[in-house]
Amino acid sequence: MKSVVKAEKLSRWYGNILGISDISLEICPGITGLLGPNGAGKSTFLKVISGQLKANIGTVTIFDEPVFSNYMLFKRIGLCPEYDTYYPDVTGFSQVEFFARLHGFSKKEAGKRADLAISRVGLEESKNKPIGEYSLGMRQRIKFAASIVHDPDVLLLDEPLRAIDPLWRVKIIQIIKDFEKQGKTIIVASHILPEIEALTNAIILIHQGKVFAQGDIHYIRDLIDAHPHIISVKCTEYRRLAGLMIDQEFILDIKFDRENHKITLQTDKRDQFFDLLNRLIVEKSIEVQEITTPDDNLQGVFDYLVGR
Amino acid sequence: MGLLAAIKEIFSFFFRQGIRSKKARIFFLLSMVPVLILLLVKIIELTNADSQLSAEEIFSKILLVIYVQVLIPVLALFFSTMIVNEEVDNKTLVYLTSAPIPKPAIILGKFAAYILLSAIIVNAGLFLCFIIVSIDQPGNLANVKTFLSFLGVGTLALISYSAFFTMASTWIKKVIALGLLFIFGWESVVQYFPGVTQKFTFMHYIKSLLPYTQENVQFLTFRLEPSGTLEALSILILISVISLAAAGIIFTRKEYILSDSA
Repeated sequence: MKSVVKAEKLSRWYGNILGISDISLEICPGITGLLGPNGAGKSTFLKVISGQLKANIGTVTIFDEPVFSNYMLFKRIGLCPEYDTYYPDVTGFSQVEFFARLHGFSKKEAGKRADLAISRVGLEESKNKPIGEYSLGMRQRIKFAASIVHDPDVLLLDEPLRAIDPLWRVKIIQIIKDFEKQGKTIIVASHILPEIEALTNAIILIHQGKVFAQGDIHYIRDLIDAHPHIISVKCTEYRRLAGLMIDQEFILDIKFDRENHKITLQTDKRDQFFDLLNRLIVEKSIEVQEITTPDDNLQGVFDYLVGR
Repeated sequence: MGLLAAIKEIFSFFFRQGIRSKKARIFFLLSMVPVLILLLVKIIELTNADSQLSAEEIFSKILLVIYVQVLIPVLALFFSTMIVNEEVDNKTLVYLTSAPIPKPAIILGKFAAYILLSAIIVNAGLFLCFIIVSIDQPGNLANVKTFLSFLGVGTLALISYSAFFTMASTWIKKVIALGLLFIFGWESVVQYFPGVTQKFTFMHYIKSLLPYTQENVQFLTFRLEPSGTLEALSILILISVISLAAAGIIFTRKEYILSDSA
């Protein structure tokens, strides 16, 4: 399959701060997930390939054309930026219609397209309200609608599912998959693995501005699963719970927090751990108040993988 | 999309947005203050025959001090810095720069929208002032002519200052403080200097074009050595064109970093 997005030795820094470094990639039609912790360089990469920033070193092309300052190419690109930004006094419809007009559609066509895009993200009833009155999730959906209003061939989405409720998350994932079925190229950046997993098998791991790994989701999953997970459980019978778990091979470490009635466990078999915990809760009637995974964000996982 | 079509789209979106904005409402209310002052003076003049106050004199002072020296440059500063800085601060610039339009269209479209908006604000106040002053002398064509000259000069002043501040804001990030210093420092002080020094201010050329200045220099409280109408007009237009062209070039070439996050 012919690659659509080509990046060669791409580097970009902000003063002394490194954004991305020496990234070479070829991205083909379909959905590609860009996964990495916050500050890894995902957004910088998207900004460079969308022509919003110029690479300090290296080149990037889309459909074999250079991107920066090539505004005619933007007709074929849809960008959903990371920021929660909007024109507060403008209605959802006006904003989406305006973007359609900037893509050269007539007033009538732009209105039709805006209506369609807005209905796809389920905001028909709120379309005439100022965006300033929208909830965060609604703003995210209207931003997504604006990025698809011109039916782009390449869709660049930076954290597109952030703050969207579970029902609409599923629907937006479906819209993105519909774009994939039409042979379009979609790049989705996120720091949440399950979000990327729900969209695609093709993943690029970015960490500290570099491509850390690239491949199938299962390969990445295996890498991540090999990382010991830390899980905190808060319950009044925390010592009893620790006693019931301590003889399990997959429990590597237990720390007690007497003040907060909490234990923090380390395990290398996350799924088995949760199976056991659920069983104990039911069979031994242990009342759990809170389960948290302090390193559930990717940072911990990446730090572990980098250090291997 | 071509440059002109893009300018038109940007203009109509931002004009509609601007006219509903809080900033426009505040400036509109501010532009009504001189109208109220004048109305009060006119009422006193009409009701009290011994009154020392003359609405016409007050009108002249309002035009010069409030409109020409304060309202027009300040309005130009605030609206023109919104063209780029507001988009950068609110991070909405990405929506415009990711559209298939030439970058200068963003500057020129927003510039045109805000010029029209500020011209409406200034000229509405001026029009009401004129109505109040000439309420007891309807049909005075000389007054109408003077008023129309003021409208033209006021609008040209808005365009010149706005173009200059637009260029500055594409280049420098926090331009409001510097702009205020320019308006109330440079523009206010240098214009009082005799000789050619005063020609380094916008105010010199604007005042040179004001009808009262041409006819009666004593009307002014400073020593103006006015430039000719053609010279003043040419210089203000030239500065506007050069500033806008420079703004377009700077905006096209410069990168605006919207976030610290990498």
